[in-house]
Amino acid sequence: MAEHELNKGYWAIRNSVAFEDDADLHCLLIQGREAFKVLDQVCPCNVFLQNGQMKHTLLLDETAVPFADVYVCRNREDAYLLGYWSSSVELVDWITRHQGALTEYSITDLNESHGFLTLNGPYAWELCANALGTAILGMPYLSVMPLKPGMVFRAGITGEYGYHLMVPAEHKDEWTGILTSAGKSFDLEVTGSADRAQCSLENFFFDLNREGQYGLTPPELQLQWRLSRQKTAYPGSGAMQELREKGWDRRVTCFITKNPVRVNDEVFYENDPVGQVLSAGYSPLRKEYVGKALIRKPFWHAGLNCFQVNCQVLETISTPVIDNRSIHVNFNLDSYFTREENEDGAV
Amino acid sequence: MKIVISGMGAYCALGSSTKELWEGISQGICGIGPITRFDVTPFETKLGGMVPGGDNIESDEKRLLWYALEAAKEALKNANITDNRDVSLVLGTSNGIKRKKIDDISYGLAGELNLGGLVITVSTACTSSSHAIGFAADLLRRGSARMVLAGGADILTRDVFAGFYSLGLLSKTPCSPFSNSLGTTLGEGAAFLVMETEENAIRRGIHPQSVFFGYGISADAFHDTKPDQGGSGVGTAIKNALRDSHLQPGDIDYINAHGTGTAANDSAEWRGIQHALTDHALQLPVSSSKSFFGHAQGAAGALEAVTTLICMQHNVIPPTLNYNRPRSFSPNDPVASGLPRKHPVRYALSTNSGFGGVNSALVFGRKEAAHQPQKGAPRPISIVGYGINTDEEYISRFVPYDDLRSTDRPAKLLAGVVAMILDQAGIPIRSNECENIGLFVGQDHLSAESIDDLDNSIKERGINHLSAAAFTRLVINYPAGVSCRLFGLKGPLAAVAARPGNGMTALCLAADYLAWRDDTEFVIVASVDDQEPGEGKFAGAVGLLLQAGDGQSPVCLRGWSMSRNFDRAAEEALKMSGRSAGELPSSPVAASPARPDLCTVVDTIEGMKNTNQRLFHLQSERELNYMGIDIILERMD
Amino acid sequence: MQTDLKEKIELRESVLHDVAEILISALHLKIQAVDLDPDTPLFGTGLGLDSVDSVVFIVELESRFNITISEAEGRRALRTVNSIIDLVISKKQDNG
Repeated sequence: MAEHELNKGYWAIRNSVAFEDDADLHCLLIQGREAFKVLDQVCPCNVFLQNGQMKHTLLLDETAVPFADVYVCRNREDAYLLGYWSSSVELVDWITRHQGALTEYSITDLNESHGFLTLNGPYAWELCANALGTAILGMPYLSVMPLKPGMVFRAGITGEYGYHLMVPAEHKDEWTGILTSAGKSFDLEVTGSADRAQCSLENFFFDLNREGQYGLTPPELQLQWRLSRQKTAYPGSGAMQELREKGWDRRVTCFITKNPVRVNDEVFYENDPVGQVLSAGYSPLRKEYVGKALIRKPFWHAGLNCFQVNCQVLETISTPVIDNRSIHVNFNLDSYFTREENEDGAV
Repeated sequence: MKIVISGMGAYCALGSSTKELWEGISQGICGIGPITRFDVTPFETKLGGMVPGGDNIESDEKRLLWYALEAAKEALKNANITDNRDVSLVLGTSNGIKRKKIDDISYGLAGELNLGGLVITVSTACTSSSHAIGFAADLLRRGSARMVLAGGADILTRDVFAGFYSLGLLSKTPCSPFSNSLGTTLGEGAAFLVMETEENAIRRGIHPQSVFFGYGISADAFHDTKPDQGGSGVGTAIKNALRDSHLQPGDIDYINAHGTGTAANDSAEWRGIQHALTDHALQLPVSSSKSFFGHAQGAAGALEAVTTLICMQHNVIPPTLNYNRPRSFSPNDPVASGLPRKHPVRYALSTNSGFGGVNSALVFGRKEAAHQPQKGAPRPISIVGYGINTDEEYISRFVPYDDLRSTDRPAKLLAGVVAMILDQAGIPIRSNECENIGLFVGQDHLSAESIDDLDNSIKERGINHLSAAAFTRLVINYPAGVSCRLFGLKGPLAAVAARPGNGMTALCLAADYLAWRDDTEFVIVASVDDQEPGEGKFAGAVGLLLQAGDGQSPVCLRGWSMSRNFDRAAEEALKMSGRSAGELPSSPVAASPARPDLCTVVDTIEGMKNTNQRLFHLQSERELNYMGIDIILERMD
Repeated sequence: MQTDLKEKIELRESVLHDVAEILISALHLKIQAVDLDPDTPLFGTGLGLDSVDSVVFIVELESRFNITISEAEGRRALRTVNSIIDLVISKKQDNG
């Protein structure tokens, strides 16, 4: 994608609202008396959810490598698995194989009948309130609610307000029209996965298609928080236990550098290789390159500016690497229409 | 039967009577000012809605009693009551006096006034006195009381101020609900209504203008301090109040909102109002009287009810003071005029919400307003579960550690017995069924450990760095709120105390609620005691699950009654069960530090399996200054 | 490894360890220090701390490290464990 096109979508995510017809997002509906028991069998997190609550977790293979990046969600007595994985057919099969002897449940692939329209941005909430009604303002981060045409999941992987609206396929065009039309006064941009991916990189969200391709485990990915420390029986728990006993010696760490880098470029400390680049992209907000590198112990800390990649300085950094505008926006007081202009011209 | 309000009393930042309250409201005078009672130097906020002259009272205990007494005396005087023997008391207080039993204030007040009726304390944080008003109406409807002094009292202490401050909830300027500055201003005071049936009032020769129509209460089941942002709990309380009043959304002409001024409350409350009243909400004036006298904590519900009623009597509605620019997504008409507005009100709604996710809504009207009769016959009640839990860790079998992380022992004990009962009844946790389950808890003290945590944090870090976590646990309804959150219980939530037995009092109030209303199908009744386990002391929770309808289980609650006249308590309970006095021998129920009253009830139910006896009359131990409580259980199989 | 780098690494590890201790003792998280990845988000997701936790956490940080954290600093810094470590280190450097 041309940089100026990337920039428009990027700036919309960072400053106003961006719309995406989200073809990457998948959703399974699990219903029945044992729906949550099924999820409890296969998820490494606890699935004791309040009505409307979502929790971000992973599904692990037997070697504790994640193959699905998911949210478990509760809407009354229905369970949803929302997220990113390669094949729903394979996932349903995997769940069936790993859920033990449970029978009172059914799984429906909602992508067969629904589409996802995603809104990301510091004023996405305001657009949603205008287009869908103010009830959406009552949704905390990581919550799900039935709303107008279908369901809305408040999540997002850009670090800004994010809403995934799940609509019946036959209504997708209609709702695309409604949202993009309401978005005109918000300087809404239609974006694609590249804009979203750059923002998720800056906020250190896990990407199954980037760092998820290297066979890394949750501690190496800095994703231990997605697992319950108290749960001992889930697919991959054996491997996790072994890993905890053995320890691990490398970790995905965020970096910044002034010049372009490529995936698999080696990272050096003085002349010693200490890691490799897993992903990188240009940050228009920081005006430099941001990326993730797999760095070995003990160099794997943030805040160290002593590394080189391609003979250029590489500095490890804490995440998120930007100060998301959404952190400073207050539903009660702020509005897109009374926002302040900033110096960069990024409004 | 009409419930009328024959007298009112108020004692707050605007003055020491309803006359001074009205003068303040009618002139748009803000009673919020600098706090001088305790040192506010460590805080960036220095304001409170302080009772004039309150600083001069020498102790917190005397201060609380004084406020309550003055407001109560005014209400009784306005109601032309000179003999208090027929007057019961339902008093709401959020904090009472630190480290004392929460109902000490009620017995102190009842003693000073020589009240001869029931004495019941409600402690549900900031809805305490609105709950009190609702329960008072229930007592009158059931004939358990003839006249009731209903309301509440709370004082503002340094600890409470510091606790709210630590949570970032206080405004640096006088609170301006629904306006563009965020935060609340704490206050204090007392307010009471004298409530009785219209028939009783006429018999006494008085003709009150104000009528109480109904109430609704609910639980958010969301968070220990923050309201459910979707406003569903507020919405449910309002819907239940309308249902109790036999009214439609379009009948409401004005809302006196809880309107604390905080970001979390005001937005959630407005969403809840819209949820319940739909399009009609958009045309309604919605104001918050906290802008005049601050947030009087447990007394807020009664004080705001008095404000609403006084204004109705003058054909006006009170404004929201200190209003600058509207906050986004707030009421279209917050009555931001600075002065009361002429506005005819047939029916007014008064809403309140509190820590632990508790909500209340009261409906008042004018005498001329149409009235529907209450339900003719009560629904039968089955007891479908029961248990005793003395193991703090029992709850861990049902709930992951992370969800219990910041709770205390009473909360865990209560949650354990609730889990036990739900499991027994085959009701899955957080199921749709749980949304229709209420929880009434008899409890009269806080966790000593949590109080110690707070005090220790103040000693170690200073008052402005006290433990916010400990502070959130210091409301009597905290354990109940935790259980609602853990299990998804969204029905009516209450925490009550009364002597001789908190548990049996909760049982009678819950049974009244379940039998005579139809907005809830199940109520869990429990009591929790958190004494240091030691020789002869009980630390645990006891619970029963009541379900509306016959045939749900072999055990039924056939009759219940509370009265200061012990014979009357027994007679009424027996009459409900279709038996007459003397027909059924009674068994005593002691309530002691060793064994709470509900334990005996549970033991009796358990023992029913091993005896041919079908009817059981349980009677609280007759102590002279307290009420008699009688219940009749029947085995149906 | 150069001394300068060694000291920086030791400082980060020491602060991380202290932060883990606070999370375990004051916020009662049932984890071990090794479970705490430095880029773990604190609120909403990650450790799932709430608004009451944030108050307790700030008080503990201020006391443990002898620093003051303003509301604005808190809002920016209370993102991940690493952002807290950055704040503590920079405040310690300011204090000399």
